[in-house]
Amino acid sequence: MLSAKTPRRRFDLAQVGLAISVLLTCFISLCLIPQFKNPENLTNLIVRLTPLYSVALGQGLVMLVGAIDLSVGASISLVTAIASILMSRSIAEAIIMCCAAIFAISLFNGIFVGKLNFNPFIVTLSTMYVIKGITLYIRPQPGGVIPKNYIDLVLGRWNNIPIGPIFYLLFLVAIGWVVTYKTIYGRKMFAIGGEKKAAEYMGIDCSRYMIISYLLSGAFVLLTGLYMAARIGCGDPAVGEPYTLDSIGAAALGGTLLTGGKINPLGVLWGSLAFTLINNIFNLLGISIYYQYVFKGIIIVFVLAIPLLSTKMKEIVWGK
Amino acid sequence: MELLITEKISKRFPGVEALRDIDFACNAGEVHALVGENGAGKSTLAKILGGLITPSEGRIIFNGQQRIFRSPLEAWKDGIRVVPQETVLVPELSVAENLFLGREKFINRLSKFWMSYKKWFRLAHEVFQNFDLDLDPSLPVYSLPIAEQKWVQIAQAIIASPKLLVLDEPTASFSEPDVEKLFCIMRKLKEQDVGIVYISHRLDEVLAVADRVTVLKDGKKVGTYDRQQATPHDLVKLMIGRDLGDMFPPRRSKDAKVPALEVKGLTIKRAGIINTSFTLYEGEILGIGGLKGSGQDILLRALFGLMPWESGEIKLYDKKCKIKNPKQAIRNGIVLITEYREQEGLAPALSVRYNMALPNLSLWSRFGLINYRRETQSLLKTAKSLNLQAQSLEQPVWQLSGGNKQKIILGKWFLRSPRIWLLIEPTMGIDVGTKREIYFTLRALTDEAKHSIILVTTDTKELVGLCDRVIIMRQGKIVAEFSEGEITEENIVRAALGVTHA
Repeated sequence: MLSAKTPRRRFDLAQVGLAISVLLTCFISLCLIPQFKNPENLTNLIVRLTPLYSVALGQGLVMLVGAIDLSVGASISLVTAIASILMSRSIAEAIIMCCAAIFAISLFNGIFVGKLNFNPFIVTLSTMYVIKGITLYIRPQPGGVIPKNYIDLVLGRWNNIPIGPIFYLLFLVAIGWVVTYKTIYGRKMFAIGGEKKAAEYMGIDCSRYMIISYLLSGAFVLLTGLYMAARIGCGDPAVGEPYTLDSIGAAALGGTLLTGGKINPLGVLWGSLAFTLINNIFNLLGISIYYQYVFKGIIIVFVLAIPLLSTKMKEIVWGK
Repeated sequence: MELLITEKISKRFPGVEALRDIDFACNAGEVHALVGENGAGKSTLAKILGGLITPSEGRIIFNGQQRIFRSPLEAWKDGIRVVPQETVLVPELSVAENLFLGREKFINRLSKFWMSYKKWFRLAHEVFQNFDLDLDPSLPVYSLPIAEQKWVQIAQAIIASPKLLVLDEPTASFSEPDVEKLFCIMRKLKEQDVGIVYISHRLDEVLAVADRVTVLKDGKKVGTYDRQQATPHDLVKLMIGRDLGDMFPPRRSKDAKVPALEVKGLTIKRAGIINTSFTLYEGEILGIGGLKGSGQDILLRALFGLMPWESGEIKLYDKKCKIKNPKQAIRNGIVLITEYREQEGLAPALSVRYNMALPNLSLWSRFGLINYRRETQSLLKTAKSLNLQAQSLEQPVWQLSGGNKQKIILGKWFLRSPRIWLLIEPTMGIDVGTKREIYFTLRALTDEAKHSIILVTTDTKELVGLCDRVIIMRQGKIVAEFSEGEITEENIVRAALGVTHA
């Protein structure tokens, strides 16, 4: 019989394992690497964590409905390119243009995947190529000007604390939590990712919610792009590239299922933090970037294997 | 000769004891039935015999040798074939390819490298002819109805000429003639000295075909009985450990008849439904019977907006209405529950809470934000009224038994209080005790809440026991209607088969 008490949430082993390893890594780095606890380095960590989490959260929301978005990286580059061209004239105009571009891209992805039932991988792969081409056309090399006052506004520092990025990060965590767990919209996305047909039979308009997912992800991509423009201070046709796969990796590491129906916004934060830490620590230790990739791959497989390993352990203890 | 003996087989899963000290034996040329409620351990035992899971303790002696099967392949090699309850076929491949899956070498003996579809189809056709089945071997499996998919699985097992055949709930989706065919095949296999372990919920079938019956309850063996010793009533008592009382709730006489749903001249040519008209009255359970695939389920799917129809009209309480998609249907107070619980009724990976709350979120939300406390209260209330057996609202649905899954599907619509329920095989694969609970729940819906129900089922007992009125469909047409006094098994079967009164 069901008890009237609300039972405590069961811990997700992979998530607990991930959180512990991230905290342990932080602790060890604090003890062993002198530069790690430099205020400058900690600032750097936050400044780099924020955009990754922003993209990964959007990616996670798309993955939640069982789709994927490979065009996020290219879109970020496009936003920086547009900003670097238009911002010197008018910041508002540049932002409006970026909004329009990202809205069009997300709507296209959403309609093709959600309404017309094309394969999300193929659709977003195609948009990725198109966006990349356009970006290289309008800004073949890194360059352009991002106004100083805009940069100061976005990266706003107070006593060397990056309050701009910190606020944005907190905003993301809050919005991720509320959208996934507290809203009707979130519930419906879980259902669509869990079993699309059943969701449809419950009267949910699946295509509409899949389009909304892409639009939401687009909003996060837009914000990330505008943020990146400020961070690098120019437009760069390649700046977004790593974010495509890193966002999928961080979301998966955080317990988001590629098949849909599962996401944990805090898990995605841990995943993004793990990726950022790997980059940061390896850089501090002066280890080649090649090893960073190797390590990222290993950590994803290892963390996702934790539940499996634990069942095996249980089997050994309990007998098969 | 004893073909199979299990001695003190136990199986523990973390935290649960699925089987305990099961002594079971099956002779060559014998049909030995296993009965018990859902969760009694029948399927676990079947899986152990098939090598899908290994027992925690105990011995299996097969053909005089002590064996432990660590994989299905080992069991196959010894000549044990298990047809599991769930469908395990490759949906995209053709019937013939599925039939010979894993046996390509045997088929392709003549041409070692190239595979010839022609030959496969011909061979498959021969196999089906032997079983007196009319199946097109070139069709992809996903396009077949469940019953025919089951036949492919059964044929797949039999052509391997096993020494022991384990059938887990083979007839759940079958109509009467299919069941007869299967029994005929089983009798032939018996003559060839094949041992058959037969698992079923349908006790009359068990008693018709089995030589011995073993009853399991809560993972333990209650006893083994000869067919002559047992009656369905006794078996039910042994299975649930108490007397159930009447299986069906009493009917209550209706006063004035208010038409709730009127269907006039509905035509869907593609599905062979032409000019179909009927009326559903408020507060009644209208049964639709007939052989599987006579268009009953398509009719209900069309009423739920899943199939566009060419002509015809629908009136709800004397108001014309258009239903083009499930959303409109639900808004008009029509809900559909189908036999595909895990694809069309639930998201198996999500929790009880997420599944049950989904259509009702607006009841306890404001500005799109969910009030968690109010949600918990309403869901617990519903779960209690349905006697739902789950650990908590956060338990993933796939861990629950079929009966409890069905209760969740019923429960999620309760709060919306729909006017019309369309049910397709609502008790398929569900144990007797839960079945009875569902019958009483449905009756309470019509008597107390004035809901109206259309029930499509191939279980004749359900039509006779539960329904106020029964219509029979044959090849897409309504061929007979029986009101309260006339609903008998004989009438129903005659009409379904198209046999005129002799």
